[in-house]
Amino acid sequence: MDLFLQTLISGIMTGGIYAIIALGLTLIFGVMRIINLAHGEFLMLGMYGSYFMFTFLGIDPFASLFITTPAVFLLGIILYRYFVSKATDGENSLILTAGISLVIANAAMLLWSPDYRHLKVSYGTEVLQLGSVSVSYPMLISFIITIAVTMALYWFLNKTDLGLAVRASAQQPEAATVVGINVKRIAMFTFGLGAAFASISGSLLSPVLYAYPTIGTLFVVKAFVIVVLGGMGSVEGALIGGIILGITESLGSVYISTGMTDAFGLILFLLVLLFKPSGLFGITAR
Amino acid sequence: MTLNKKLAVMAAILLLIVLPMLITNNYFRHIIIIIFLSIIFGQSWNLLGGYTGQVSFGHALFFAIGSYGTVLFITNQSLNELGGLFGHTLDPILALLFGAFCTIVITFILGLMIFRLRGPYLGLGTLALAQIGMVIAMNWKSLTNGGEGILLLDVPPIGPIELLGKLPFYYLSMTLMLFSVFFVYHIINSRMGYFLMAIREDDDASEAMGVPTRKYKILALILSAFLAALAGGFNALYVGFISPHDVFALHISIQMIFITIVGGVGTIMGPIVGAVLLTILSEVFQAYLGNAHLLVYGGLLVLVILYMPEGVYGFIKQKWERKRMVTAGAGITGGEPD
Repeated sequence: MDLFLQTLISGIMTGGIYAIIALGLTLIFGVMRIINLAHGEFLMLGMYGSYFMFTFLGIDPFASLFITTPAVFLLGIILYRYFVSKATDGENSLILTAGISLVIANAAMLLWSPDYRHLKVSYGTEVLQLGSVSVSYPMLISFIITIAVTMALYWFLNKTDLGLAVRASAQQPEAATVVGINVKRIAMFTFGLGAAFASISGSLLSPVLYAYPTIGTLFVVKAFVIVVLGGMGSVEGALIGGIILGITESLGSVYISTGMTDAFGLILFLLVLLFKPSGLFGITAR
Repeated sequence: MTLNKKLAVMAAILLLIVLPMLITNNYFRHIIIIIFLSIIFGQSWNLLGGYTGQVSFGHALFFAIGSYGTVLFITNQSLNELGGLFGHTLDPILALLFGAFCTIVITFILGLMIFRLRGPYLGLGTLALAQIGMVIAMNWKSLTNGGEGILLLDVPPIGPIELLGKLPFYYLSMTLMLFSVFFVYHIINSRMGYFLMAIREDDDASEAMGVPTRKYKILALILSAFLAALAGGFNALYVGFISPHDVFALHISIQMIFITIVGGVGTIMGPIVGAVLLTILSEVFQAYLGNAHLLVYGGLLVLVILYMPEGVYGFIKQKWERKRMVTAGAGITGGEPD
């Protein structure tokens, strides 16, 4: 029972981080109908950003978050403005983002070598003991930030003018234009925001995972699984889907085997995509 | 095909046949073999992605099934007995065909489901299929030997020809490459070719015009997968080793897409131009950038999509035709008569 509880909790923690990655992807998809294959690379950049700031300047990854995230946000805006927005249709933008992903990952390999890098914070191995369950400090802080970020996004989308404009552009691009929303600028902004979310998760993961240039691929596949499970373009769906995937992986790797769990996630992904494209919970895209 | 074109094609084939006499350096022969393999990659992806407009991100799956089928035919005792029907003289060829056969059967089943998806979703679905294939190959240890892969110690000869050194592989890959080019050319210039292009232009409209779109999409997928499987089988014989991480890799699917798009989507020449260009570029840059040479692949792709949507071949062809039109136009407006 202790093992089960322990596994469940660590699954929820990881799932929270998965959820932020997926939130970025689902935002971009919701507004622009673009499937961004370069999403994982933004995560990688966030990870490296935090790694370098820690190694050279001694800034804690949870603090450098506030520097790397705006930087990746800007990069996302530039990439959208000069490249992604020029692609004509869905397939083209899909292939274009695959190209961008390859460029970023290989540029990172060239600049920073393919070596695995590990950021060692002093509290990296410390745990918080809650009865029989122990939670590692970095994961706990990450989880708290995850919740804060998700709530901030929710507030932003529902309560601010800019957030409403983003939702309007996602629901009815033509009508949004008619009422005076500059849909192109909103799209640019949303692409940056999506990239920023991937970068946040990269910074959060940097104390617990090794950074290497192609780590993005690992997470972009997971993010797709989550987004499809939760419904393309749905914010709530991404959150629930992320936690479900985290728990499934964690329980699966303890009670079955890691390889089988990966296959299970992918098969579920394919089945949902084929037979229930609106997502498992029927939350329609907004 | 006009007579001039026919003569040009025949001259090109003759040149390819005598080329190994001129190029005796093993490294250059290897590069040409890789170019041939890349052309098959491009023709395969182009048939489905270029002519039929169904973008796949999972062609590595067909490549991989082809290579596993080929290797297992040679290494597996009971399968290998099938080769006894021909006195084991044609084993490598039969192995290639067996790999292709396995791919066709599996692709047919997958095709029945996967075309519920359209556009970018099809891309995601096929991507997932290839990943699932990799996980299955990793875990089905009794058949595939899992992540350790299978080493092909000695490839049986084709009749009297031992598959040793570069030369036999040069001619084998050349034959397969020419086959893939003529195969796609023939399909495109048949009734089926028009159906496929109609589906690419407008799925719903062609269905309304009486094109059985689902049937032809599945057919295009199977034929495209068939070529990818031949490439996979050849690669397995040539390299002599396969493992799930090598043959199911995402970069194989991506390579097929890039060769076609950089060269020119929906043309026979496009994948040929793309294969030559990308193979040579990646060899050159590999010397300078090492592992990061894919940077050039990605950068070139981005530039081509944004500035040459017809690909390098389409771009050159357009320039050339415009130039010819300008010269012809000068004749009409009172310039020098030809």
